[in-house]
Amino acid sequence: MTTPPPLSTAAPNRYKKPNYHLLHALPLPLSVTPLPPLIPHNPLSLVHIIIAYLFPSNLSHPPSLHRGFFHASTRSVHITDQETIRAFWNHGFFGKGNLSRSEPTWVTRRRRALGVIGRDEALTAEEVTERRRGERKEFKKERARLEKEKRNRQLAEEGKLTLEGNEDQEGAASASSSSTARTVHFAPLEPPSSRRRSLERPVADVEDIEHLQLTLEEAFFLSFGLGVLELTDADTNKKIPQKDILQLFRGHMHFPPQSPQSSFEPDDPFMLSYVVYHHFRSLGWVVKPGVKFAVDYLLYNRGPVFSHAEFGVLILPAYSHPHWANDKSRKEGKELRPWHWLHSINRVSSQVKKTVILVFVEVPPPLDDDKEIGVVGLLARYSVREVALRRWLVSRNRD
Amino acid sequence: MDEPEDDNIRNAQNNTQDADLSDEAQDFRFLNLLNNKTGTATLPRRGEKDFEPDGTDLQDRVLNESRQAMHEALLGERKHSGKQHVSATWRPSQCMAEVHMARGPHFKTVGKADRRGVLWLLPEETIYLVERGNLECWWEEGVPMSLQGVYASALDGCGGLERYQVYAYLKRAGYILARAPTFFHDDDEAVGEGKKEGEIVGTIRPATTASPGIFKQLFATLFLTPPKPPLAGPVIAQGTYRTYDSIYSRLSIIPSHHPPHTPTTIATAASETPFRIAYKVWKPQPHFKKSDPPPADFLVAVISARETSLPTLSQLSALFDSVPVDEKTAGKSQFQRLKDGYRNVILAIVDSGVTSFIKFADVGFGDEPMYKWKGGRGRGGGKLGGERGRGRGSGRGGGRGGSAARGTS
Repeated sequence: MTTPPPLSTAAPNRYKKPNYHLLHALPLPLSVTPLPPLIPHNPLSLVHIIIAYLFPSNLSHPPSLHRGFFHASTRSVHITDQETIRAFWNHGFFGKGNLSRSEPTWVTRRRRALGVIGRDEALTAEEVTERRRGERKEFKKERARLEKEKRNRQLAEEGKLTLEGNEDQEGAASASSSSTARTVHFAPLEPPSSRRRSLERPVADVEDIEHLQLTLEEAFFLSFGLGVLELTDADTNKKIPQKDILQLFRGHMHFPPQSPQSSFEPDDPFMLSYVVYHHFRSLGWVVKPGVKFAVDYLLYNRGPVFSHAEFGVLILPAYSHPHWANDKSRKEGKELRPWHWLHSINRVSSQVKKTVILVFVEVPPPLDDDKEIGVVGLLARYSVREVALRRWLVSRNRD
Repeated sequence: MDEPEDDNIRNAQNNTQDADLSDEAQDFRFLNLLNNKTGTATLPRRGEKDFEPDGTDLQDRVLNESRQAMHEALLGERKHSGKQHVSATWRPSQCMAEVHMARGPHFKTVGKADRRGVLWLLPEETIYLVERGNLECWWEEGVPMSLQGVYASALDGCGGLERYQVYAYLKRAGYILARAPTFFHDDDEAVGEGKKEGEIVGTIRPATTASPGIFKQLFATLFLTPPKPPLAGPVIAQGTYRTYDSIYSRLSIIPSHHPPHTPTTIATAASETPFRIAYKVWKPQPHFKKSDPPPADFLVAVISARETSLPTLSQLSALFDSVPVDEKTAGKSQFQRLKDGYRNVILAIVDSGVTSFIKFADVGFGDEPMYKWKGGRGRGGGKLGGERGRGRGSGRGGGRGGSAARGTS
């Protein structure tokens, strides 16, 4: 690969990012009220503290809980209220927009397409990516053109490209050479301006038809863990009581969905994935689904807008408890994974510079009655252990 | 280091390995530099890779030159001087080779002398040296052994083909290897069983953070005790919370593993046969003393990809318990601690001759809560950036630079 002069390294138009540190200052959709500082030489500060302690000015939870709609057909929880969407996305990065890659930004893109907002105003993540890809494509096209020019010059020197040489110099960019050499063809790039035809007269505004969708683990964490979400069944339009949510979600992780009344195994998929989700959330990580990198979860430090995910999480059940000793289908079926499976995942992850973490969830023996110990007690019976993986390269560890 | 002539070729081979032989169309003209006898100090660089014929004579010429260079490198005369000739006799009763007279740099790291001063070679060392052409091996009856004969008689003593393949691969790459104490399978399973359970449970603790001190605790109990969560949740009941740390520590209800951070007792008994440390590995170093080796840089277990699957938690746990705690880990950055772990093992997974190495690290995310990471913004960003930069581009360059430096010294 020859190295032509850098063409588009410096982005021509730096768009302005919002201040993410301010926007995402709260790590969870809960508010805290710190006590005023104690100043030793100022006795009044103690009074201030006592007043703040006795009469807390505001509560951790919003005055009315956020509402979500459980849809059995999509196996997810939909949030339609704009304020709730903002609370869940900005404070903890929960869920994703159903018409967007991650943050619900469909309405912004739509408004730009209809000419309500300017071309470079409030760029969304999708648009930034699209522009970067466009620049990259241009760069590759230019590089191919330069390489072709160089080759043609060489051919002309060798006398293989005589008369049409001059002609070809001009026609090189259009990639229509009649020489014997094979050429690299790129699809013609359409100018970005023609992609979205702005309308003659501006539309008043666009109605936002996008909703935030939460995975069942996220919804359960927000309702059971943080207590900021109450769920409504979208089919019956009835509120789902807190105590029924776990059984409902466990049933819906199977296909076809099982009745919430049925008794579930301690290693059913929802329990394993929720235990891991809760574990990392409780340590302050932002946990997002990792299916596009062949892992179960991705772990972000503070959130996806700040940095790339550093870790990919693979959930593996472990059956060390003596209860499972004779359970052949689990010991040999679920616990054992082939090496090629791990190699392929590790390859994908090291390509995108993420470290794969195997998270073993120690599965407890089944209980006679789950209800006595409550959900907190039920979750506390599981335990997790992480093992980090890394490809070890012989040639890079010598010194 | 003053390596004899024949080691230059080894360094050159290392270099081609750095250059990633999987790239199919290579420019072999750099090998020309090896064949001239001037002994140039700089190692040659690889040429550029072409993807398709472009019809120019220039390209054809380059390709032909490259091909010629490769042929010449292969045609190069392989000398064997009488002064450096080493021979040994294979003793089947001991399953080792007795060296008649040790000469050359290999014996700095290979072989073990007994009380009578006789140098003995382990089976894998015997095969490796014979295969390299550094050793002539004889039957006890006074007949020279073929390479096939050496393989046939010594391979069993190596602990299987996979172990020898990993041994030879690392050895060729320049590493120093020695058998680990757990090389052989000991039948002490009975002792292992009881211990295993205890070890797994012992490291699992509730994730709540350690007690910060008596006053802080008292303060916490007096002022910061929110109501107990109801059975069905939510864990965070409505109330007033002073910090997010208090919310997070209430959320941590799932017990997790906390690896030992300081040297602990090493329990080797519980590790099962394939998942046992086979070799201790050191980086190449000029002043290595095989009688008094420093602590190993890496510990390698050899596994056949065709016969085993991923280790289960109990197998991994036993394997981690059989290795010492890496004391360097404590001084690393938080992300690096979460990647390298306090104990780590390299598994060499051999899939019919193709070996891939994966480092398994015993990490504890519960010990490194992210919500406590105050310096996250500036410092962490910088560290992360550094790590990324090192990832691919300069890592390869570093390897090449390293071998070049070795070549010059």
